[in-house]
Amino acid sequence: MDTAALLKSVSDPSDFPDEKSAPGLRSLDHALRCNICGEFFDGPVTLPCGHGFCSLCIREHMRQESNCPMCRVAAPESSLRKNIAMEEAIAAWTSARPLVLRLVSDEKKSITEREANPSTTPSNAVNGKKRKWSSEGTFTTQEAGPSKVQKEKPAGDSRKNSGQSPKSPIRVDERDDEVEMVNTSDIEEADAVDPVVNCPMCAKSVLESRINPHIDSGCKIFLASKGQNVNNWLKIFPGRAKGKEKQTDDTSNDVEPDRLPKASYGVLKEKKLREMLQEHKLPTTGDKATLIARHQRWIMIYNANLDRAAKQRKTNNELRADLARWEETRSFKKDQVSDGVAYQEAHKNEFNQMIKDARKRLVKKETPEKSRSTTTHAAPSTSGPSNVVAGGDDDNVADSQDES
Amino acid sequence: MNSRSTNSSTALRRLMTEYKQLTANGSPDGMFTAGPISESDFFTWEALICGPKDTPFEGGIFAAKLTFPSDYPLSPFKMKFEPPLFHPNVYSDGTVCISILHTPGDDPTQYEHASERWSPVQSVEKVILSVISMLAEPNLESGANIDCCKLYRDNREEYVRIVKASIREQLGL
Repeated sequence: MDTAALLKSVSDPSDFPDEKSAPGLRSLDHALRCNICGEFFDGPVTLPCGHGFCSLCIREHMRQESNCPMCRVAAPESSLRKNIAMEEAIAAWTSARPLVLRLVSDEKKSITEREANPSTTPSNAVNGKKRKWSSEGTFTTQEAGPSKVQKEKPAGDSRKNSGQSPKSPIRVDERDDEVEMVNTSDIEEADAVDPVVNCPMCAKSVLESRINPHIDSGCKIFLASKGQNVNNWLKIFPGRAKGKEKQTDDTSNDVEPDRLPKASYGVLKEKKLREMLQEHKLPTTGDKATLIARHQRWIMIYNANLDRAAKQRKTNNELRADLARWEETRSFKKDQVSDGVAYQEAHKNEFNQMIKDARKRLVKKETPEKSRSTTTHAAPSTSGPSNVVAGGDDDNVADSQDES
Repeated sequence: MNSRSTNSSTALRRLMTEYKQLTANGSPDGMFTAGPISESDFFTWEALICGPKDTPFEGGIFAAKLTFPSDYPLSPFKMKFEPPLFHPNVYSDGTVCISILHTPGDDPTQYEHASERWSPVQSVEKVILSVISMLAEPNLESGANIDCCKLYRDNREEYVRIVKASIREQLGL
């Protein structure tokens, strides 16, 4: 593995020059990234507090804690709202990014050339201050190409142009905020007349009186109660309910496949678990813990997938492949063991080294207090591990030669 | 090692991003450097931290090993000073005891607020900066090295003397 190449393959805000020479570009690139995984939002969702993450990242976090990782304000998984405008902004930015990066590096080059021999620049000098004007001249000619002009300028100039420069990148940020506002505003209010509760299993809103039959049915008869809920609203605010219908027509998102409910695994028999997996055409092998983990993960990636725009969504088969890959990583340690003799053979040298180290440690223990001071002296072992292994290999080769 | 890294790709990509940013931006005031020990394993890092100014640790350079779990950043990494550091919040084996590296589930000292704990939006940089401020201001409520805590509280001069002596010894002076 070549680290430099690997690092190059990772895109991050530091691909752009710093804030002084390219105001806004780094922060724009950063604003479109998830703070958990550090990549562009994949299926961006917003929490009630306004912070946003990838759908899968935040769902994984919420399995441990139901709060916002940024501000720790409590937030259940059911409060996640997808952020469509953010997703559009990311799609646009990822397609514009290579061009912007190229423009930035071109700009940098031309500036270094200009600084190297200022005489070659076509002097558009109209007023006295030659240098400033020459760079501004090139600035205006390039303005045809959109916002990314004000990247690399001599420090003196940046002040002059500061009136124009921040505008274009910031516009996107503003849009960002709007998005959050839209999303936080459509949080459902509680029904004051007939209390609505969130089902602890599927996290859907259900009338309180209906919650028990709802859970007993395996979260299946919530549609009836939901309908009833809407009817109740209709009685009180007929206009509002209409508005809601309109919204569903506009976005056409509510017609889409429903999110999967969580299951109460504790009360489920293995047979039932297998049936539930079969329902989604998932493998039914493994013990109960494996089945549960598989089903949980499936629900998570399935629901996260629904937070992507319809175009970006994976097919169920692709999701199944993802699930299989995820299971591979989980069972990775098991695989190692199951290889058995072959594995032992392949890693013979490492095992021998470990045995040797253990023996050395044993000897050290037997000669106690003396060795203590030497261990504390041990140099901060930067290159230590690799050297030890290399040395160990040599020893082992020698050993095996002796044996043969 | 290769198979491990392809498997936990989220963790690996996040670590590479952090490393790239640390190398590109550097640390604030150049107070520390951090990076993987070897190219074959991105899950073990070494950090070199400069002792903060106007503290007994001034002038010292401290090496720490960072060990990342395969589900990083959902779970925090571990940080261990090698060689160990004489400090109220560092165990005698060098492991750092600081709330930002504890998940809300584990609370060895019962004195920590959930708001100070690990969350997946923390990073190597933020943790090391916290550790640097911890070097300057030990937290006696959640002590890891009790002898050192007592010394710090009752006999500050002796504490300072020991810390300074250990730094000189470490630098080979």
